[in-house]
Amino acid sequence: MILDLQNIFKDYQQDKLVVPVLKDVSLQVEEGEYVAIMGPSGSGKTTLMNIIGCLDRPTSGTYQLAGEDVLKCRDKEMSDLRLRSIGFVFQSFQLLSRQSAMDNVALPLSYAGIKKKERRQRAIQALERVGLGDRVAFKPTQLSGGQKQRVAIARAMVNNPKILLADEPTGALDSKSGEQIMELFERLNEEGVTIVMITHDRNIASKAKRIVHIIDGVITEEGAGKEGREGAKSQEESQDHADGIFIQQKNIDGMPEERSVNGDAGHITEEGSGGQEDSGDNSQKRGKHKKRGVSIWKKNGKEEKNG
Amino acid sequence: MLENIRLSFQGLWSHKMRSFLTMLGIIIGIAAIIAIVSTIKGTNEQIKENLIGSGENTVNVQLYQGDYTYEMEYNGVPDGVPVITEERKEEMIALDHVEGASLYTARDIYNTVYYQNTGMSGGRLYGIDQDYLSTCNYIIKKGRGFCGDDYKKFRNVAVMDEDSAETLFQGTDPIGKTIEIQQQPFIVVGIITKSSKFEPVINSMEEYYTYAQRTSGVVYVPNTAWPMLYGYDEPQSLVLKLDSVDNMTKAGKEASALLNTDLNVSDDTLKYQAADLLKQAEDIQKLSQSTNAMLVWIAGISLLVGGIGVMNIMLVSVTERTQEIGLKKAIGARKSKILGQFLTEAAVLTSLGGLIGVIVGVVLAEVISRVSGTLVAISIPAAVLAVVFSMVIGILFGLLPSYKAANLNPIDALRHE
Repeated sequence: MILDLQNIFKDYQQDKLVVPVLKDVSLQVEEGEYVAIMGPSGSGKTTLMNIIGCLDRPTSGTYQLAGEDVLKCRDKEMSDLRLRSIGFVFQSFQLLSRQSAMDNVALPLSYAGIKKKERRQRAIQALERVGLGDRVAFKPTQLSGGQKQRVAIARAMVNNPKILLADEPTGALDSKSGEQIMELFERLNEEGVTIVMITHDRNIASKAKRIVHIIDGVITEEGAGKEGREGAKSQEESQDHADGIFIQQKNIDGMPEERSVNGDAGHITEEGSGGQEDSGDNSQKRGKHKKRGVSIWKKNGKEEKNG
Repeated sequence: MLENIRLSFQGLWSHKMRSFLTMLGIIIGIAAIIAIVSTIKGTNEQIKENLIGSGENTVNVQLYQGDYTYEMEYNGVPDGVPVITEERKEEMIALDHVEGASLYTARDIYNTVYYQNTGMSGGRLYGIDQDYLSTCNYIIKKGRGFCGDDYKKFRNVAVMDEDSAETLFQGTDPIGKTIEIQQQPFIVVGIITKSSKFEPVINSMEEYYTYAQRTSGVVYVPNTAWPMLYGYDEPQSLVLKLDSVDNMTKAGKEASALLNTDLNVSDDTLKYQAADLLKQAEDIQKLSQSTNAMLVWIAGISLLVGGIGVMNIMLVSVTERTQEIGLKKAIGARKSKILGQFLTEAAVLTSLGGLIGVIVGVVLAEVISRVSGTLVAISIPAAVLAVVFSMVIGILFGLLPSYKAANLNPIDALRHE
């Protein structure tokens, strides 16, 4: 087991008010898994991500990363865990704009104390692995969004981490680049990389092998992702129509949007707001829905803009 | 580390204007200090050279009564002042930094030296031992110096400097001519000159008096001929040759202390003392140093202001690069790495400022030298110190911003826009 989170609670202090963000979250991830954590804004998925990424500590609970008790680590050891065990991919790429793709990728290696020559070699290898072998000397400003994210993935992978942690990796990309990134993730996963991805986009999440839904700090359901679904896709879709209230919307580009409210769980579960599954593009223009539909959606849609 | 330095330069270069303006405070401070220190050093060297003569490195140890050298006139040597023996002289030579020692007796010349009808007014007459001319670095310009026979055979021979020769002989060749000293005939055997030209800058009457004795001509006779001129013994003086000007005071004190142990006098103001030339030089130096020390302090304040500027700009830089710091921390940079990165940047910024400051300061010192005509000596240790000091300023004033950067919460930092 790579990740083992047990009974994680996380509270935030807000002007004498204690706001619980995660309420008894337990999550296990096996080696080689490809997990998507899905949830709307404010559901606690980012907090969970930060805890998994050793950037934040829970209020209570236990967390083992590859057998190591993370919560007993001190700051320095947490840094080392992030360096060696976790590869981060961020929504906004987080590349250093003044440095070349290679230098960006080599950055974690320098923190690991690896010699310059080897750093170059490994950075180039990592860039080749994400298909950017010909963009080694390019600065981020000379790269497209999709290429930037691939550089970021190369950086995340360069220290051979135990898990790849991606936070809305396609959030800032057009759908075509987004798909390429998802294809890259699938390929990396096939090569044996464990991936944990956070998204609120159903289409993106559906590429994972396993989807974990989190709402209001509680894991509400776990479902099979792509592999489990592929066979029974049509069946599931018809089920969606049957169980929930199915709303068809048009976004400003005139693309249809699919919404569903999960009636029997008592929670509102959003499974992707973009019309990507149907249309294949413009998915990033979320939150700009027209005022049709149920009012609760409008609210969620607005929140998404910020999240 | 090298990587950090390279990145720092990259960072500074990407904000050329800002970096330069930040450095300006440091540049001005360091340039001012270097210019002041160079001028001080130049002035000091000039004072030393003026008062002591460069390359001579000799110090006179004389018998003093109170603050003045003991004047013989008609009193003779005071009781309890013994003759300085050869053994004592050897002891002097054995002192640290002493390369040679010679004994002499001297008197001011008042209508005592004549060639035909021409007399010398002013100047000094010396009775010297055989080593004296070499101890004092005199060069024989014409004729010869004193030889062993001159002493053994109590010959009446004399050597004089160019000034005296000019006064007495007015252009004719003095060698072999007979002059009259205290009504005794002496044959001039040689003309000597100092190894280095001595051109004092005279700023006061006191100084004029000091130099007048040295510049209005000297006549030397073997000390064996001295008793013939003056019936009674003169108190002996000692001249020490040293390895450098800087050791004059120390060796002079040691030598006079040694001589004072032999004294057995009732008048306790009577003492051997090293001639005050160096002290005088030092007094003048101290005066210029104390005013210059004030200037250095003022320049130091400029450095302080510069340092605060560096701190300010580093804080801005940390805020600007919050996301970068967040990212670096997220991907595993330890606090110490972030701290190191920003400290290096601050240190590189100020060191560069210091380096430019040194160059500007040297140029400034040269300009001062050209304009005011004073000597300027560039001090390499001061230049190195200035750069090191500016680096320290960078580290000191970079601490707060770097600490702030290192302790950023990566989650908040990544979210920072």
